[in-house]
Formats: sequence, C-alpha cells, structure tokens
Amino acid sequence: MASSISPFKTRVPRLAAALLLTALTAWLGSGLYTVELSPDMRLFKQEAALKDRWAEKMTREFGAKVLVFGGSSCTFSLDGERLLNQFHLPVVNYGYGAEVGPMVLTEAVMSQVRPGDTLIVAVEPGLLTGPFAAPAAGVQFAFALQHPGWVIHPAFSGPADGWFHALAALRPGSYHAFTLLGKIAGHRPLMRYAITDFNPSGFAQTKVRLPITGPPGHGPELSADTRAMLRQVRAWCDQRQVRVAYSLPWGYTPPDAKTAFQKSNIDFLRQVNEFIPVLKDPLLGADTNAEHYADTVWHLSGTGSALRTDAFGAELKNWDLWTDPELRRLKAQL
Amino acid sequence: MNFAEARFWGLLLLGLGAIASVRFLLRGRPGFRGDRFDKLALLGLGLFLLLCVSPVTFLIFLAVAIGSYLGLQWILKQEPGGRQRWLYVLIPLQLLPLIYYKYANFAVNGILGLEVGALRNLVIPVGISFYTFQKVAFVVDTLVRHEPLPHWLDYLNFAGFFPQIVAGPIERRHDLLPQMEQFRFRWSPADVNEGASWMALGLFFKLCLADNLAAHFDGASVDNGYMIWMNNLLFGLRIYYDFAGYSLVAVGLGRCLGVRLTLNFLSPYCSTSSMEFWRRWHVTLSQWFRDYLYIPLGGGRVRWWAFNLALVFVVSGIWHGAGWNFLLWGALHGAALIANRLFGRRLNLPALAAWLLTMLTSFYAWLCFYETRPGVLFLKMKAVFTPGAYSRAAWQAARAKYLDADGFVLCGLLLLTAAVLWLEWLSVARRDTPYYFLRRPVMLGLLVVLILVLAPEKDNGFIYFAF
Repeated sequence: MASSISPFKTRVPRLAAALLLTALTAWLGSGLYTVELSPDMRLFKQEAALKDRWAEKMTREFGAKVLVFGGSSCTFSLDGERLLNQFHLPVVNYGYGAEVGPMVLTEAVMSQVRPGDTLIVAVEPGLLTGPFAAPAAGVQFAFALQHPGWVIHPAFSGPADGWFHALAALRPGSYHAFTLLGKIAGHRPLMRYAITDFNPSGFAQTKVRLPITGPPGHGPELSADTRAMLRQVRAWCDQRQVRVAYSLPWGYTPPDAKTAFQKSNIDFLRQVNEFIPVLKDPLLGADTNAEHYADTVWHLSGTGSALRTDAFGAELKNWDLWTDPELRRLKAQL
Repeated sequence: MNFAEARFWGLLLLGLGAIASVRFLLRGRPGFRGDRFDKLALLGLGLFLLLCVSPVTFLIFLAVAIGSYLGLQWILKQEPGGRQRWLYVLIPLQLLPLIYYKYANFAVNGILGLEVGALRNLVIPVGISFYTFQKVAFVVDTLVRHEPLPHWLDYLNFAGFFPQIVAGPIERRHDLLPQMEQFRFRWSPADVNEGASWMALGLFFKLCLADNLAAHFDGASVDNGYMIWMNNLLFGLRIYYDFAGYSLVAVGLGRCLGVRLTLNFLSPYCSTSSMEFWRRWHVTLSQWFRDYLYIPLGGGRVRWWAFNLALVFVVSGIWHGAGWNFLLWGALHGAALIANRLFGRRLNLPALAAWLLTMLTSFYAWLCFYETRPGVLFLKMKAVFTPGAYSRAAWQAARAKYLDADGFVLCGLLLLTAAVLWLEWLSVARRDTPYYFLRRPVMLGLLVVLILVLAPEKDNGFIYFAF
C-alpha cells in the first residue's frame, strides 16, 4: 500500500462491504415485513379499506357524512350502523390503534373529509397531552397505506419526520419481535383482534374479556403541537364548510376516582374548547360500570358501546355543545 | 459525539468527504505536504466534531489542552533538577475545570450547605473527566520519563483524537502519541475490515442490548428484594453494554483510520475474582489509577497496602460522579478487593462459586451507582439483606411486574444477553481473546441483522457521557 495515496484509490474491504450489504438487506427485509407482513399492519390495512369503502358509500348515499376519529377507544365505542339506523346519521368510524399517534390519526382522517361533512375528533386525552410526533408504528402505518407524506410533510402540524428517520423507523423493534416470538411459541393468535371483529362502518367489538383498572390518566395540558393541530383543523374545516367538534371518549373509572377524573377532564375540555367546540357529554368521560368494558379501560363492550353510541347520537343530532362558563360552573359543583 | 446517533455519522462522512476532496485538489501542487495536511485535517475533523457536540465542550477542551501544553513547555525550560516539583502546580491547574464543573456543586452546596444557586445548574462538559486524565498522564509521563515535548500538532491530535475524546479509552503517551506522529489518511482494507468488525460489535452492544435493557429498568422499588436485584441486574448489564459498546466503536473507528486504541473492556462479567474484574472493566482507567495513584502511594508492597487500595477505589468512585453514592460504590469495590487479597487464596473456591461471588458483589454494588439519593440507597441496601423483602407478596409483585405484562420481551432480551455472555466466556476460556467468537464473520452478520431488527426507535445517550 502506498503511503500517501488518495482515499479513493481502493481495494475493497470485503468484510466491511459484506456487513454493509447485510445491513442494507436486513433493513429492506425489515421494511418489507413492517409494511406488508406484520400482523398489526395487515389488520390496519384491512381496517382502512373497510372504512374507506363505508365512507364512499355514505358519501354516495347521503352526500355528506360524519367522520369520527381517534385511537382504539373510538373504534370500540361508536357503532356506525346503529347511528345510521336509529339516528339517521351517516357515520364512519376512523378509529385506529393509539400506537400510531395523534399526528397520523389526524392525517389519515383528513384525507377523507369533504366539504359539507362533519368531523368529530374523539382522540383520547392522553394522546393530545403527550408527545405528538409519529412513533414508529405511525410511520409504518403511513407507509403501509402508501401515504409517507403523512409523516414526511404532515399537513396538520406536528413535527415533520425526515426521510432518513422515517425509513429508519421501518423496523419491528425488540418489543414487536419478542412479543411475536412469544405468541408463536405459546401457540397464541398473533393479534388479539381480527378483521371479522369489525363492522362495515369501522366499529369493532371483541369477545376477549380482561380485568381492567382505571381511570385512564392524561397530562394536564394540551401539547403545543396539539394546539397547533386543533387550530389548523378548525381553520381548514371553516374554509370548507365542514362542521367540527370534539367528543370525549368514555373510560372506565372506579367510583371513588370519578370526581377527580371528571375534574381533570373538565380542565382538558376547556383547553380543547379554545379551538373547537366540545359535544355535551354529561358523564364527562367517566363511566363507573366495569361491565361496560371488554379488554381495556377504553374498549367498550356491546352494552357499553350501545349506551355510548346512543348518547353520542343524541348529542350530535342536537349539536349540543358545552360552553366554557358551563364547564367552569360544573367543576365548581363537583 | 454520540456514536448511536445518525447525526454523528453524517457529520463524520461530511468531514471525511471534505478532507478527501481538498486533498485530491491539492495533491501534486508544489509545496503540498501530504503528512502535514493529513495531521491538520485530522485535527480539524476532531475539533469540528467536538464543536458540533457543544461550543462550551469545545472551548473547555481547548483550554485544558493548550494550557497543559504551554505549562509543560514552560516547565521543560526550567532547570532539569527541579522540573518535577512544578507538577504540583500544573496538575491542579489541569484539574481545575474538572473540579469546578463536576464537584463544585457537591462540595459547596452538598457538603458545606452554602446554597450557591449558580453552581446547581452547571452542565458537565462532555468527556472532561476522560481528556483531563489523559492530559495529566501525558504531563507526568513526559516529565518523569524525561520525554521530549512533541510537536504541537501531534500533541493536539493525541489530546483530541475524536473517536476516544469524549468517553475514552484514556490513552497514554507511549501508546497513542507515536501513532499520531506517523498519522496519514491511508486506505487499508485490512484496517477497515477490522475496524468494521469492532464497530458492528460495539453498535450491537449499545443499540441492541443496552438500549433495550434500559427500557425495563426503573430502579423504583425500595423494599422488594426481587425487584431490587432485578434492577441491579438490568442496570449492571446495561451499563456494561453501553460503555463497552461505545469503547468498541471508538476502537473500530480508530482502526479504520489506522490507529490502534486500547480495548477498554475485556469481558468483565467472565471474572472469577474482584481483582480480575478490575483488570477487565474500564481497563484504561484502572491502569491510570494504578500508575498515577496506587504505585506512587507504595502500591501493594507496603504494610498500608489496604489503605492504598481503599483510597484508590474511593477516588475512582468520586471520579465517576460527585455524590455519596459513588463514594460508597468505590468503597464497596475497594473492600471487595481487600477481602479478595486477604482471603482469596485461602478460600480457593471452585470457579463457578468464585464467579457467582464476584457477580453478586459487582451487581450488588451497582445499586450505589444508579441510586443517587443517599436515604433511599440506604433503605435499598438494607432491604437486600432483609428476609421480609423476599416474601411471597414481594415475589408476586415482582412476577406481575416483570413476567405478566411484557414477560416475553424481557425474557427474550435476557436470553439474548445470556447467549452473548456465554460467547464472551467461550472467547476468554478457549481462545484467551475477548470477543473472539462474537467477531467471527458469520456472527457479525447475525449481529448486524439483530441491530436492524431489534434496536429501539428512540436514540439513547451513553451513560458515561455524564462522567
């Protein structure tokens, strides 16, 4: 080897090159797995197709529709078919797993909103008071649905993810890999839910029953990104004659924690109300009946979801909204 | 210089690309000296990367490096007979920034209780403990061994060689300086291959093991014996793979540039005695304390050897951080070494029992490393020896926490870690070459795949950046 040659004049370091090639192949394989083969993403893709079909049907039959979106609490609580049959409301349930994050949940539904529609934000308070940037599952979801723009240049605020970081997130990670291995080893189903759990409107139910504890907590303040998102969603909806409101999800709350949970929910709703109106739910998100819940503190059972759907339908039909003085007064009375 | 961040690698490639371009444009021009250019370029690259860490870190590094060089230059101009006494002036001056940033708050507010608010928010410049010790050693070696003052450019490259500047290994003059004097940007496939193998192993340690184990550590339980031991285990494994991972990437980067750095870890969890553990854990720091504190105090051949040993380990504890917990951590290890020396040969335990005893001691001591609140630390240390902390209820609580929810994830990680430790043990026992079996080409390929599949999405800093 000459002593002072250009770094470009090379012989190939074969081991290093082989390791680089292995890394590239492993990353491509990981990307393919997370976007196409992973049980979670396969279910999300099936869900998305189902919801889009229902949205098209509602648009075709009713002209304008109601889109409600949030994490899985939304999926398991608002029954589109029941709302259509009992309240004549053409509702599409755009709830997905909370693990995709509030940014991607918002981007996913906004691509389906048309002028004249009604948009109901039913995102769990914990998601709106926590980190807003898309987690790995959110990036994978965006790529799986062939909308990388949702994370690379999101239209409704949220920190944009560079291509490098987005592509680097297309990997399963240890939690997914070891959990999957555990399920395979234990001969358990790879996913707790299946597409057969879903109704055409996007509403889902599960037969799984697990012990639950509550209430679900959330941070005291909306994050700056959430504020920006709500502001932009409101402006976007106003420009296109889209009605928009927030609906607080129900979560299981032990009776002794009810008052404190409702008070913290009032504080949360007053912040949301600065940007978009809030539908008047007298329970203030605190449901003390454990029988209403299936497998998590947010997933309503058949009985629970019927109650929640009926309450929601009435609120929506009457466009019954909280005012800030009402919320303040209510908190003082609790 | 966080090797786990893509930003570092981007900046490094940018810097190397710029160097290669300028070199290409300048070569063949009259007066162009490749050797001089390469050394200046290496220095520029190191300073650029350090500046990208933070301007304060950059300025303090320069102050310590230039101050040490000028101080040494001045001393070397004095009469030969009296030069060494100036060490008592120069070394404290070298240590001044370290003492201020790392210990002023603890001493002034923690011990003296003076409530000086300005000291509370001091941020320790990254790498200050490492490069300060390297420069102290350099000054001592130069004066004691009557070495000449090197050229300033070689010295600055020795003091600021970027792979090892922020977290070691703490290199010695006779190991690193000659390599800096001969430094050239050479393309050597053999070096790149060897460097890549160390880097792949280091990144696997850090991204796959340390960062994933970190997600399961919370250090919360005060009275549950099982949980305290589990936290000790998780922390002990995490800190090893975190620091060893960094050190191996540093070794690999150095090797790619044709520079051999010292291996800072030699599979310490294969040790069967406390003495062996310290020959394998943070090797360059242990050697530093041996050569610049333990031996000058008289070493192990004097009657007060136990005091020397205890003092060295207490100082080593304080080197890691300003707090009673670090002092206690050092003292515990010092006591273990004294006991090892007094009773080790007499007991003559079987290898497995000796290994178990060494691991129990080491992992028990990690409690003092992660628990910085003295009151809580005392409760936890006591709980470990309290039978009530191992009740049925405590077992059920620990089981619910670690096995019921994400049990498969933790078990999978611990099994993977155990497999890696077993390969480390095989490498030491069969080949006497640490990490030998982990650096076989097929194994490296597997590790690379595991990095891509298992590394968490979140970037985690290196624990030793805090020291």
